[in-house]
Amino acid sequence: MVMSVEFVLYSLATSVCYFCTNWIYGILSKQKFKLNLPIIILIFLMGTLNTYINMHFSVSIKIVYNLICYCTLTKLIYKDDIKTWLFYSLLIWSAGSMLDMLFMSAISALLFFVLDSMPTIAIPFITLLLQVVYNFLFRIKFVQNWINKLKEKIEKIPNIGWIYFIVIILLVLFSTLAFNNMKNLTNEIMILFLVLIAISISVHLIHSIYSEKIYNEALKNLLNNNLYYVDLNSKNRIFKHNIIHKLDGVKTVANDKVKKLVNDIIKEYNLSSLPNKEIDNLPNGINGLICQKIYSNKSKKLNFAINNYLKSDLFEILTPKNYNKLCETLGICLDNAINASLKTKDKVLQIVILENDDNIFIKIINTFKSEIEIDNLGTLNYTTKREGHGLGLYSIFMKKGVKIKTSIINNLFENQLIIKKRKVKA
Amino acid sequence: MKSVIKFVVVDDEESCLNNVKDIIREVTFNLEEEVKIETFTKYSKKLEKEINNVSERKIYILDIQLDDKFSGIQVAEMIRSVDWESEIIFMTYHDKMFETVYRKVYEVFSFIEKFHDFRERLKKDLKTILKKNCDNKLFVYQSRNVDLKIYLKNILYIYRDKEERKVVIVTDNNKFTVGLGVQEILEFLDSSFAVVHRACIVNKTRVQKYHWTDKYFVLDTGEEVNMLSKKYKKEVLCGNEC
Repeated sequence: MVMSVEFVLYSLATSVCYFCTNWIYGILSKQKFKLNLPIIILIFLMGTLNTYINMHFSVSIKIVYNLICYCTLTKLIYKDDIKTWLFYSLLIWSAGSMLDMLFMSAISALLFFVLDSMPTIAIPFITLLLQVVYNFLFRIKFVQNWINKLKEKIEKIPNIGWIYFIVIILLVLFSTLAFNNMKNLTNEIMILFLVLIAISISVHLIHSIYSEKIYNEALKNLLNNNLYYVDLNSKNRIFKHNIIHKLDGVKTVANDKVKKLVNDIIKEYNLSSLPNKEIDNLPNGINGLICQKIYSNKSKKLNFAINNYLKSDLFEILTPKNYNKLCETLGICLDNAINASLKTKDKVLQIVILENDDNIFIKIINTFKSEIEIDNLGTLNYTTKREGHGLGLYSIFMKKGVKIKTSIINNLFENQLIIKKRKVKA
Repeated sequence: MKSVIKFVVVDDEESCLNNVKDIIREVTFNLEEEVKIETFTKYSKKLEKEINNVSERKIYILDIQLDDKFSGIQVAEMIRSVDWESEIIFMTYHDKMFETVYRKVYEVFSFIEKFHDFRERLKKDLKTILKKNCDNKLFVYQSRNVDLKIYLKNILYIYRDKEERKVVIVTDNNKFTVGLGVQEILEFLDSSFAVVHRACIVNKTRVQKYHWTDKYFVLDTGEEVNMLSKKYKKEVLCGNEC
């Protein structure tokens, strides 16, 4: 009888734990924790099975089982990309383990002191109490703000996905070994862990050095390409200027039919050129990129305007790394904006470039016509285009160095890129 | 208490400012609301303060070419960074090059050429704006990556997608799916919206006809929507009459 009461209490407590950890996930990731009947049933089944495993199997199996349950539930309830999911999961697990250890030690000591022993039946109640504290902790505004800042900083680390993965594996292995056989934790096992960590860090460092080399090459190519397009555009303008004058000459000796044909050709040439004033106004460094993107689409009757209020030279105010990232992000944003605006009636695209003391702001505003899932925009594989797309905006959001703010205002899509200026030493 | 309509005119020519002021007075002569006119010859701290004060309904009349480091376009940019409810009219010379872009991007009501029938055009546009009766309220929703702002007048109807279990906002050109319930979304809307089906809210000002027996309604775009329930007939009709 005592055994069955204990079993039910354990099952309930574990189910509440699953419920709470997923609820906390929702609080941290600012998503609604939506429960439905199948999920509730699944939580209770998982809780019951956990209690059975707890009573009949080793701790290591229990930890692995808990991990599987947690993963399955969060993935079923929330639709996050893998990195966000790993970040919050790691945070909840680490904080949970620490709190669990502290709480259990404190209460066991207290109960032992009062009752000379810790009654097994007390454990579910302690677990429930722990969940209340746990929930309360993550609801504090200060803690939430701190977590958001931590997430922003961590996301800027290169290859963070792999680091998450390694840390999780180590955490699970270590927890399993430590819980299972704390007394027999030998030096060899500790050395194995240290070697594993050292290998992971070395691989990461080698990868970073290699990436830096490739990146420098890419930057050189980017600068050359930019100069090439600016040069090409100038030559193109001169060519058009000359050919239009020659065609005007032809018109003077042509009959009406030929005149009409010549007029059509001149009109076409004028359409597919950018206004000279606009090109001269563009900041050096991204002028080639913008010319290249806009020029090829001008003939499709794209209504394009650019307002540049940037007075400084991009190369002077940006670090090479940030310049490279800006070009990459701007390219993706322009491609998206042009594709979207060409599908609309007005075909509007505007670029506004501004600066303040610390940052450069580039706004890309375009008309669009589509069906957008607001909560999924910018997540992995979400696309309004055909299958196989959905990486562009996601990769921009994940990019470090260039911050992006996206808004939709009355059928206009606006991406604002914010790039930090280089710090000038006084 | 009388409601206030404020006109903010920005032009570097004093004569033009006076001319616009005369036109405003002429158009608003019979208006019940209190009319205030503020004039500026260039961008200043006072104008910045005026732009940032979004508590009043305003109509901005801006000259594009200002004899200053800030142009009318930049002033419009500043206005739209904080205020999407006020109206903007641009006064310009003959350069129409980017009219389409700015009209869309800054939600500009009109571009009026200074030397071509200016007085009559401005009078006509001001009358149209005043007749519109302040319907520039916004629906605002924020997700983790995107801020969404839509004029309520642009929303046609809102329905719950059974398969995705999400709410879809249908506007003139686009559809937006948001993670809110039908009842939750009602809190963001005003009295021009009504529930017409347990899974559908409609902008009453955009409905042309309700077919209660055939369970569908027709929008001013011509679209027919098969989500109409007699259960809500009384509330919708009462709402229209009240």
